[in-house]
Amino acid sequence: MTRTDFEQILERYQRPVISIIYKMTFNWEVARDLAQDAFVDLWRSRGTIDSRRPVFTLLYRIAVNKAIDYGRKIKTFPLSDGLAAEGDFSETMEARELRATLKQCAERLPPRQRAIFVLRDMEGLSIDEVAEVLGQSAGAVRSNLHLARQAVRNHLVAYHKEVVYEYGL
Amino acid sequence: MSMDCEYVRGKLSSLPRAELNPLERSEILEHVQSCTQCSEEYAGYTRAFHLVDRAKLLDPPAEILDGFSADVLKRIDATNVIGLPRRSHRRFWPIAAAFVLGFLGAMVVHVTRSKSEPYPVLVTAEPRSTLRTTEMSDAEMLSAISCVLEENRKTPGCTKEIPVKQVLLKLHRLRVLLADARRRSQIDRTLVGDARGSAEALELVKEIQDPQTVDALIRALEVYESQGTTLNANRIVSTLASIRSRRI
Repeated sequence: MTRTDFEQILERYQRPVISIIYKMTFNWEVARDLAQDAFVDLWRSRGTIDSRRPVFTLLYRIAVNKAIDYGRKIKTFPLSDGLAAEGDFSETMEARELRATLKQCAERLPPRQRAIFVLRDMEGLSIDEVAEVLGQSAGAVRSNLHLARQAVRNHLVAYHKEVVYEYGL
Repeated sequence: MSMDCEYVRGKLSSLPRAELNPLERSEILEHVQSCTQCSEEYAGYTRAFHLVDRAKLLDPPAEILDGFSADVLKRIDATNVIGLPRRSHRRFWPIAAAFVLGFLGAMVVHVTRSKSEPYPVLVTAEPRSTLRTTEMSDAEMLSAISCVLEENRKTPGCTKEIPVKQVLLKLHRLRVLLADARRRSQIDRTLVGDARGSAEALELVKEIQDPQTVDALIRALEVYESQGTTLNANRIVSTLASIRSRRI
């Protein structure tokens, strides 16, 4: 990989990489820092990249691992400080509510399931691509995805009932 | 053919994403339309997917993307020496390993010699006749470093002051190697099919298990140097002892 290739990858993938990490950590500053680390790591490992495979799978794998490691490091993968850290960014009311709800859903998922859910359902990767990124079989991805979707669904149904009850809707 | 509810519910989460084959999909939809409970369950998934599909609203804000590429490229330029392609690393690693082994070898020899010639100041680790580097603990490493420093003091021409710059250079080099080894081992774990790089990196990490001690020592020596404090063996050895006492 030449520097020019790398610069193109950087331009092409910076947005999705930041976005994936954000949807796992719910903190933009953290997502930015970890995404930078991921790109630097990609550059450092350029000598070992298998050119037959799409480079984004390796990049996403590094990014997901960074997000999971970050979660382990702060030992509060329930993302306790994410919302407070967001005050500086301009955000529509809709996006704010959406983020709060998605965050609550994500908190219910173990890190690997969260990664699968984010990559497949939010970023739109195929099952095979998710399997490649996470180094799992397609079957394992499917079954974890089902569990993740079930947890999200159950949370939203419970949340919806709560809102209906509280506001008499 | 009627399907049972348990089977259908196992498939409902795949329905909105078109992950089922057309025949299965139509059979499941048919069941959902005729079964109240499965229909409710499916409605929950539809609502969940509706929310998830809006996640694209959570695009990185402009503040976050600002200067992102420039910062990454700056970092890459700053670490250019370490960030050589793997082919170059293959030449780099044997040299790095030789350096570390040579450094540790000198320590081992000195620790071994200390059996008959105990150091007067704060060298408390048990001298061993054989010291395998992979078994080196924090305390042993510190003692080994202190032995090297002590030896410097005894060298003719260095009787009063330790050549701190040389020691610092050595420690800096050690720190770079450690950081690189650790980083590489992390990266390598994420790569497919490059066990060799990973094994080499892990060996290095095993050889010196305590980069924090090296960092602490470097910081302390840098402070002394910046303050222009007179440095002698006793001061450095006692610094090591104080780092050791905080860490053990």
